[in-house]
Amino acid sequence: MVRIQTKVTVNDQQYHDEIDTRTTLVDYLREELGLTSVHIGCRTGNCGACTVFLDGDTVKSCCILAVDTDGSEVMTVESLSSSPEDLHPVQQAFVEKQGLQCGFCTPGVVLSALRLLEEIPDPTPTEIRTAISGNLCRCTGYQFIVESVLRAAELSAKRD
Amino acid sequence: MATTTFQFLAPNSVEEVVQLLAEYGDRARLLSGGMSLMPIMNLGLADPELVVSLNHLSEPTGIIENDDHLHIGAMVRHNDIVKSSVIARDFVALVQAAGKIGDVQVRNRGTIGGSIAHADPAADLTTVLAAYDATVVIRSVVGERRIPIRDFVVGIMETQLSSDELITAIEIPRGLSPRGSSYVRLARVEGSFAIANAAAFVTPNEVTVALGAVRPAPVVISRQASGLIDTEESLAIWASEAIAEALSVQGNPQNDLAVYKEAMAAICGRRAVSAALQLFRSET
Repeated sequence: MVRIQTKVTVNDQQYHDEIDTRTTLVDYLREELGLTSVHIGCRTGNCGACTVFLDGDTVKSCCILAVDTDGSEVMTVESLSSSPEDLHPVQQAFVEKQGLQCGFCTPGVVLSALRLLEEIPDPTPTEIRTAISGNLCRCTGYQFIVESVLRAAELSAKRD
Repeated sequence: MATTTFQFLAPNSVEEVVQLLAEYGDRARLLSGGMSLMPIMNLGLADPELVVSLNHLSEPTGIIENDDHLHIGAMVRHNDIVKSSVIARDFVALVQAAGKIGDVQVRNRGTIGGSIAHADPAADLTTVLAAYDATVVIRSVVGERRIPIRDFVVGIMETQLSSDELITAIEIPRGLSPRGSSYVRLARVEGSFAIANAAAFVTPNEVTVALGAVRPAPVVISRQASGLIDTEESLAIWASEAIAEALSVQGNPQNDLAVYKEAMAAICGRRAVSAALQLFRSET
């Protein structure tokens, strides 16, 4: 086994770990740091359940080596809110519009929605569908997810 | 997680990368965006002795305008192309193609150099770069060499790149202006690899069409000095005939899927020519 010293900031906390070169970012986040919002669906970059922010942009963490994130900043859904009473507007919108059923894809979808709203605060349904096309959902048929993101745009605008 | 253990290095300079390649050859794999290599390793289909990450290089990450060509660093990510006003101004088909690759997360990570090196026959960027007659800039410890993209891909996921070489940049010749270009693809759903794709490039002295996903490498067809005088109808007729002829010369389809892909490629090609001509006219 080859281990490499890796310094990475996750949800504003610095970690300095010796990581097995084979460990993907999703495994590091889940198994070492206990951030279980980051899900493993396919390990081939298709499903988007492992979506996280890496240096400000969404990526699929199953297709990134943890040791390759040395010096980087990672953000997961855990950092969006501290308690169920203090939900981020995007999370609140998914609750209100029931933008989920089983919830497996939800953390990834929420982060993709967040990134979209950073770029386009008032997106159209088509822009939303394009933005979440990297996140597979096998329950909802996407309609309620699209409605949730539209609601998230409203809530975010109110907050600003 | 990859099954076999491997060494990992993330050099800051191209010199260090080519030194490592000279030493390790095909026992090393270059990791750029990882959108193809990582799934392959996760599935246990590749077990390199050494993975060399290119994600910590100080170059080649820029998009630079020169007098005679546009220089795109190999580590430029697809989303950088999507957002580049410099590329959109003169080579809009490349922006259109980059915007169709995978999904947002894939475009945030995948690189132009990685896509070209991987050489999937249905790759979006390679088809467009073939239409633009772009050049691949390659480095090794021996030095630098340049290969036209049209000669670079030699088979399905096979290129002229040796195991000790690294792609450092893509150069697109500026050529004459005005320019009109367009990229058209057919895919099952958004994010899928294209069933067929096509790029067209119209300049005052040449009309070029490249077809992807129908042969191991892009099929390129061009016609001299017609961009200004042809009508849309005559160009469409030329495109249809030239595409049919080019595909017949390069081997007839072997099965129903291939027949379907060729038919779709021809439609993509005609639509790309039409859209590129319209853009050319609007610039004139």
